[in-house]
Amino acid sequence: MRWSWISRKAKGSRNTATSDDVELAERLKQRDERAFLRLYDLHRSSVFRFLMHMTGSIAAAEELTQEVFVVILDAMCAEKFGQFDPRKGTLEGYLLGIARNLARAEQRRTRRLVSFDNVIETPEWERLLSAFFEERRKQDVLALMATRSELRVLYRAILELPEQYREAIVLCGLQEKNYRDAAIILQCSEGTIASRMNRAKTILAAKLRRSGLCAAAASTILRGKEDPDVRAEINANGK
Amino acid sequence: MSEQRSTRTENEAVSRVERLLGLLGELTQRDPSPALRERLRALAAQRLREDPGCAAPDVGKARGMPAWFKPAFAALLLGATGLAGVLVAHFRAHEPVSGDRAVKGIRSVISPENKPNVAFAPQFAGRRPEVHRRQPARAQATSTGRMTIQLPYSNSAIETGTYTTLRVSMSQSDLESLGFPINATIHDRRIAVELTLGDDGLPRAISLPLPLEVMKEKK
Repeated sequence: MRWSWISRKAKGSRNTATSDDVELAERLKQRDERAFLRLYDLHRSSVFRFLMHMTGSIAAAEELTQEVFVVILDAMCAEKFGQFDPRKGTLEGYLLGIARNLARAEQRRTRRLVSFDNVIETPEWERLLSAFFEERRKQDVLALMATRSELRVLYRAILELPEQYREAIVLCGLQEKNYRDAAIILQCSEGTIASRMNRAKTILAAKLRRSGLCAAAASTILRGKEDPDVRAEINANGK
Repeated sequence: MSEQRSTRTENEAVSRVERLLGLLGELTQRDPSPALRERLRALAAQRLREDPGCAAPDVGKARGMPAWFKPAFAALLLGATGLAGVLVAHFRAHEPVSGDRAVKGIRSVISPENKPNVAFAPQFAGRRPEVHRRQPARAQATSTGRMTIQLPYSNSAIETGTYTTLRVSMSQSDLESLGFPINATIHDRRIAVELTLGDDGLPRAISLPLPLEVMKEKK
C-alpha cells in the first residue's frame, strides 16, 4: 500500500482564506453585486467540475452550480453570509461544501443511477480526447488506443465508486486539491482523506487491471507476439 | 517471490491510475455555459439592486402594499372558494333530480344491443331546479326506438356508479300500470323489456325496445 499524502501535504497547502478571500467575503456581506459575480468567475469551474464528476451529468452539474450560487445569494440577502469564517477555510472550500451537500441531496431526492454517458459520450469529450491524441500521434498507436480505452474505463469506475471515495478522488485526484483542503471541504481529518484516496486508487487499479488484461491481450495479438507478463497475469487471474 | 511480484504489479497499477487521473483531470477541465452567468447576474441584479428588502423575487413587488397583504388575501380567497364549494356540494346533494334528465342519463348508457351490460353512470350535469316534482311517470319514446321510464321508487339522487341491464319479460297490465301506453287487450302475452339496475340492487328504469317483442305467457 502506498501512502502519498505526505508529499501532497507539502504542496502549497492553503487551509485558510487569503486576503483576497477576506476582502471578497466582506464585500459579499455588504451585498455587493459585483463581488457576487467575481465570486462566480473565480470559482465556477471548480464548483462545476466537482458537481460534474459527482453527478456524472453535465446538465445536472449546471443546474446544481446555479443552485450553489443561489444559496450564496440567499445568504447575502438574508445577511447570513457572516456564517463564512475566513479563518476556517477558503471561499472555494465553502462553495464546494455547499456543492457537496446539494449533490448529496440531489442523489437522495432522485435516487437515480449515475449516468456516466452524459459526460464521456459528449462530442466535447471526444474532441478533447482527439486533440490530446493528435499531439501524441507520433507515439505508439496501440499504446494510445489502450490509454483512450483506459480513460473511459477509469471514468466509469470513478462514477461507480462509493460516494466517500468518489469525493476524495474527485477533489484530490481530478481537481488537484491537497489533502488538507479536501479534509476541510469533506469535514474529516487529513488521515481519513489519505486513507480514502488509497482505498479508492486500489479499487480503481483493480478495475483497470481487469479491463486492461483484455486490451493487453488484444495488443499482443495485433503485434503478433505474446508478452510473457500478460500471459502470466491472464493465467493468474484464470486460476 | 510471487508476493513481491504481486506487490510490484499492484504498485504499478496504482501509479498508472495516478497518471490517468492526472490526464483525466486535464481533459475534463470545462466551464459551465455562459448562459448560467447571465442568469445569475440577472437574478443578483433583481434581488440585490431592485429590492432592498431582499424578499423572494416574486413576492412583495407591489410598492405601497404591506408584505402580509398578498398572502392574507390569497388565504382569504382560498377559504372563500372552499366554503363556496362545500355549500354547492351540500345543496346539490339534497336537490331532487328531474325525472326526465335522469331517464336521459340512463338511456345514454343502455347499449343498442339487447344484451345485459355494465356501463359507467352518466354525470348529471347541469341539473335545473325542478318546479313540478314527482309527476306521474310517462314513458318517453327515443330516437333509438325504445321507450324508457324511470321507476317511481328508485332514488335517483344516489349515484351508484354503474348500471346493469337485465332482459326480462313483463305482463302488459304491469307495463300499463307503470305508465307505458299499452292497450292491455291480450292478457296472456308478455312483452320483453330491459330492466336497469343500479349496483345498489335497486331497479332504476324500465326500457321498452321498439318494435315490441311479444311472447306467450308460460303457464
